[in-house]
Amino acid sequence: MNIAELITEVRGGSTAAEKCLFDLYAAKMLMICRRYVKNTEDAEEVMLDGFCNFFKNLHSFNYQHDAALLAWIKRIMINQCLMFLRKKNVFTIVTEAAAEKLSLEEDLLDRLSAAEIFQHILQLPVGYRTVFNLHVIEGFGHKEIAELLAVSEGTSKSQLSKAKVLLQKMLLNKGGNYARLQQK
Amino acid sequence: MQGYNKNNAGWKHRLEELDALPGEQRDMNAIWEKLHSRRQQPVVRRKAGWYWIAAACLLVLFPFAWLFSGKRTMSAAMDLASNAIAPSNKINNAPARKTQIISLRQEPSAITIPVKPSLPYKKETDQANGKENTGVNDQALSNSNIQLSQSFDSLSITTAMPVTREKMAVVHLNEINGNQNENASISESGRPYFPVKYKTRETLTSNSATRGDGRDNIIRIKLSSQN
Repeated sequence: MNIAELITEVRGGSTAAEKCLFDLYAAKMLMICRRYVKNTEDAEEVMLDGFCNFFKNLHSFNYQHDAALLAWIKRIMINQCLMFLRKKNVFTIVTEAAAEKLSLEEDLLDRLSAAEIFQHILQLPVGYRTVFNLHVIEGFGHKEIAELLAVSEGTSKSQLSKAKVLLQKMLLNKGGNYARLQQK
Repeated sequence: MQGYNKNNAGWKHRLEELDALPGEQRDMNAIWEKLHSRRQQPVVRRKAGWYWIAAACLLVLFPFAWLFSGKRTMSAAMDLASNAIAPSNKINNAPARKTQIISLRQEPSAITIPVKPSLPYKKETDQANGKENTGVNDQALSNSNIQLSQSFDSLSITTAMPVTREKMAVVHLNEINGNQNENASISESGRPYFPVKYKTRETLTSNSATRGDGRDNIIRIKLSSQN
């Protein structure tokens, strides 16, 4: 049974079809939520709220292809995460210092596994992590991020540059350790 | 998504494909059960919430309504008073009204006194005038009604008494008996008073106190244990 048929059945009120859709996306959505919300239990709660919204609004969703559905459900989860962070008031408003022009060394990241990158991202402070996730991974522009987080564009840029600096330092330490391990 | 960077595609793609961290597995069936139960609950929870909100609003609004209803009356009264005191504040500058003096009209009062029926009701004929002499002053009778009260088995006399009149139009009860000399007494001020016997009580009516200083008209009733 393909996704289009599942959606039709969910619209008809089938719980089994809902379970199928949940099994299809739940693991990935939980990882997305964990990237924004560090605590596992909180991330799980956020994901559940996101799925509630997903099933509630599925009747109004116009299905075109699978990627569109995936993008839609991801967007629901991200919004849910941002709402949770706003409620918790965990965003650190930093002074708008001049954003350093830094580029994260891609080869450093390429040398690492997905799980290692994930763990490094989790170690970033919540403000840095959120902007990094939104800009680098989800691909939002600074203007959109500023609207989503209710901060200025400058703040978004500043947070991103600091996140990159911190992540690069962590990767360099990791790389140094890795080099040292290889020398031994 | 303006900030999308194709250079990040490699590690980003790997990150997106990540389903779980190594050594960390979640029980998705348990999570699904949670989600399923949560989707059943909200309707009931919302209804209960609305009931609680409504109850809280009522609790808050009732004391306020009670409080402000009293204040409204007071403020209206104060407005009226301020308008009456200082009407010159108005633009038309109308002259203040004179204070209206309202004199209380004193309505005539009535007293009903039950009288022992055993008193002899004499019906005599005045030979000189050719009229029936009932033993009651004609003037007093004109102001009074005599009724027979069956419940008390007695005569009750209702007397109209205009309070403001200097001389009270009082029926002299002893006149009903027909023997004035037997019951009438003279008080110290020279005014007559008339004892009325009713069962075990003796009621004395006197207007001497009122006539002494002339301030008010009252009836003093003295109750005694005399049989």
